[in-house]
Amino acid sequence: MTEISSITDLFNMSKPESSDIRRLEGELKVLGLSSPNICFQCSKCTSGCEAMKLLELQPHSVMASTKAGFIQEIIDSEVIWTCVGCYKCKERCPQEVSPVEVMYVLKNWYVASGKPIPGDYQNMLQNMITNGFMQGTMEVLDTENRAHDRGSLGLPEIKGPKDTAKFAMILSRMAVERLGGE
Amino acid sequence: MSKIGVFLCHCGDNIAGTVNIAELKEELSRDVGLVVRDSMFLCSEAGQNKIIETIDTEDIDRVVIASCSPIHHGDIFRSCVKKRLNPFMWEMANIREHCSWVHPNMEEGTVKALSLIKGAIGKIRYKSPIETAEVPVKQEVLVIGAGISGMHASLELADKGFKVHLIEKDASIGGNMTRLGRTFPTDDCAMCTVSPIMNGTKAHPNIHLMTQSEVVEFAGTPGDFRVTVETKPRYVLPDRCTSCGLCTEKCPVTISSEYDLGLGDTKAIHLPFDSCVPNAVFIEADACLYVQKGACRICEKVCPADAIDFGQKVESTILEVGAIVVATGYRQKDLSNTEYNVEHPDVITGLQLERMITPSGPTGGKIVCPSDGRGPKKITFIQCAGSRDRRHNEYCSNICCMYSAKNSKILRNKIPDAEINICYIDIRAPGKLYEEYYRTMREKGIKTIMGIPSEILDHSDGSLYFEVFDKATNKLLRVGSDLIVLAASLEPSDGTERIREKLHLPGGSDGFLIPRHVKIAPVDTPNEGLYSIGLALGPKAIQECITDASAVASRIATLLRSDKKKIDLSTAVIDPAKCIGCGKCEEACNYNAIMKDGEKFKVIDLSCRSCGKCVSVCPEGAITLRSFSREQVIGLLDGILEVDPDSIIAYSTSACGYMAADIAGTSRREYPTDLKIVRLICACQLTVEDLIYPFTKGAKGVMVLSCPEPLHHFVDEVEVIKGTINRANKVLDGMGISRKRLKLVEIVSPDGAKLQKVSTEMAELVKMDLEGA
Repeated sequence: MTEISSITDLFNMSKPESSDIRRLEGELKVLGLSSPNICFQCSKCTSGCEAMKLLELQPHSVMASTKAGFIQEIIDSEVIWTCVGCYKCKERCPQEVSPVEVMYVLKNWYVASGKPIPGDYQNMLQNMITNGFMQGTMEVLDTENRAHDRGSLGLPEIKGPKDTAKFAMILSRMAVERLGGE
Repeated sequence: MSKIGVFLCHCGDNIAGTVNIAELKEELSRDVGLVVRDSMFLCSEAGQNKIIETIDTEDIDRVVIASCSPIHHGDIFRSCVKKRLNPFMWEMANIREHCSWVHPNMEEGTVKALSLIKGAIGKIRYKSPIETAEVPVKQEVLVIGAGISGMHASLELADKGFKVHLIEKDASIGGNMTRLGRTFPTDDCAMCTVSPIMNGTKAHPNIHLMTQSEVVEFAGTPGDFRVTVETKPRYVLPDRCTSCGLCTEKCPVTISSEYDLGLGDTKAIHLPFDSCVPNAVFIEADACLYVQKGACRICEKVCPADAIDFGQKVESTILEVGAIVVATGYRQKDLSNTEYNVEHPDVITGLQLERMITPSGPTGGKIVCPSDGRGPKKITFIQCAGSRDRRHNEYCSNICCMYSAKNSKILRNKIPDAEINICYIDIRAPGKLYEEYYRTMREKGIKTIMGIPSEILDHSDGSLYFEVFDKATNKLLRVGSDLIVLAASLEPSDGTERIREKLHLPGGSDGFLIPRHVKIAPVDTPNEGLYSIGLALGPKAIQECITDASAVASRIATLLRSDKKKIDLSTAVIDPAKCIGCGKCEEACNYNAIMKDGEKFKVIDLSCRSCGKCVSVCPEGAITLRSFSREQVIGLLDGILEVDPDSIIAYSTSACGYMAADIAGTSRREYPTDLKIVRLICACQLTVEDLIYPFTKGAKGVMVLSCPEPLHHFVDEVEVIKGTINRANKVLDGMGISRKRLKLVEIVSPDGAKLQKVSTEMAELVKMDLEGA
């Protein structure tokens, strides 16, 4: 269908793409998830977003632009990469919408289009492939500036992959299969 | 010489714990005109028997009960006294809630109790027996407006056995609901719902139906109204008309259809609409060539049923009814010459869209752009058009969110590939199944834009567009539309405006009728015997209209249950010897309770609500409230101030100020003993003299504890008392008394904490003022 939306974004003269909305809704449906159009913008997701506090991710804004059909500009911005995947937005959404999974779908679209993952997030990915973690475990400071490691807090040690080379190979093969399957 | 029995209640130690009953008894017994008795529990059977025995043995003709609040046990003592005396020949001094419970110092508490009791004695001295009257009640009802509210109310009343006269200004009953396609939240076909109600209304043996009729004159009193109804000629005999349509086909005059809100044409003779009741054509007199110019009569010639009757004239009918229901409905606001660009044919209202949706409408159920008949692909709904807008109607029109949700869903089904947007401020869905309904709209892929355009514009080719800032995406959007549907504000219909004048009903700031009380008397008007339901009161959904209609039938059944009604004459009375016939009282009365009687005026007792506003406006002092006359006020003040001249007199309304003091008592909130509560029905009765008199007897201050502005139990109570206080302030200036010593406090009944605060502050303020002076 070659319909042109009646709506124009007067900041950049772009148009919403209803074909993007349909594609997104289709992929979400496979996962058993609601359309972003169900979102009624209570912004509860953003109120509790862990990435919001450090990286200014606003899941409700992502949902607003997505449901309006301005999907490409969300994909092209780096904002979806700031999501830490804690799933709190999905857990607490009063309408059972899942911003976190909308952003996963959009990240997949981005990678599938052949574009490189932006700056720091590429490094994180590299760390993930080589060490099994986005970043190494760190000491934390308490309110009196005393340093603690996990052991001193009685937390179990975090174990990385036993065979890092094999782990990296499996991850890479999964990514290729996923893209090849598209 | 009257003999007064004074009965003191210990209330266990509730009163006796902080008030010295023995001392009171001794003090009061010095007055030879008093017979003083006490009881551990006066409300008990033993206590009541003591009252009756004393009345019998001591030849008492009036009684003072010093115990708890009359709101608590007033009814018990009233029925006790009533066994021997006129039920008004007693007074209550509230020495528990207003004294023992809030003043822990026994010495001070006893002095205050004595002053309250002396006040009650002073008041009862000037009371006369109040009689009851019996007024006739016509067990018939007039319902004005045959929309869904009026029809349902008529059926309910008719089923209860009352004769109902149902009048309708249009040629068919049914009202605006017949114009609708479907109704939320179940998407039922509107006509399928309303049609059986219309037919049931016509068929009911207790309902007398009059179409094309309006009220032209209104007189009489509750239970006995006399209403003149004028019926316009239909020029058609409805019983003969078979609605075959031949006359309409042959009629040479084409007019725009008012029923279809300008979306279609009809002829000068036509059916009001499909499935109308009565099912007969009528002639639009303004358009008919014969009626206007005396030539044509084609309809008469072609009618196979001989149903045309040009001999009909305007007819007057006089109806005598006991009660009247106003159900005159709403109209959609005309937004001509505004930024909404309604002059463009493709900008329509929600009600116009309903006409397009309904299969029997002018487009046969097809959605079209009125400009050229094409099917729209881009449709935009704009909410709150003229609502929530102080330039038009400040209120929310209540039903638009849901009907736009409904219509957007219907359009989605009718035109699956259409792009449908809704511009809104917020979606209001507070009703049964409404939130769920709103979700189904989003599931249908209806797009929402969080923002309202500043103006609707059109290009030189006629295509519509607007710019709108969407708060959700933070984007300024330009939106093009083939068809724009405005959720135009609902406002009082012309009929509602006219009937308000005719029945002298007060209107609210929104132009709709106002109920007697928003919460606890929602379908009563302030005027006895007159009721209002449905959208005449304000925008609401059909289900709420049905609730209103059922409620009003119950209210009227209570009023008209017998053909006579007994009323206490504890009302206002005008002394004909003093009345100069100026009519200020009639003008001031909010309840139609004063009428001209020859050269003078008189009170209609059934209508009078004893607010006393007439008392305060009468320039001759000719009006008295039987239950609290000027002499009684003076007697009461003298009694209080004789014992305790250092008092602050607090005139308090029964429903608010007095109750607040009761609550302060039950929650043991201490305040200075200076405060002496004087119970009124409404602050309207207070005159300048009432406010000044306590000062002349040495009182330190005067307060008025009235109901607060939006919650007052009587129309314009606060406005009236503010005016009286302003005038009293000028008198105080002349007397050299600070205006600070006269204070108005608006208070709600549960606010004992506020009563404590304001009375404590007032006592401080007066003290400082007196010391400063």
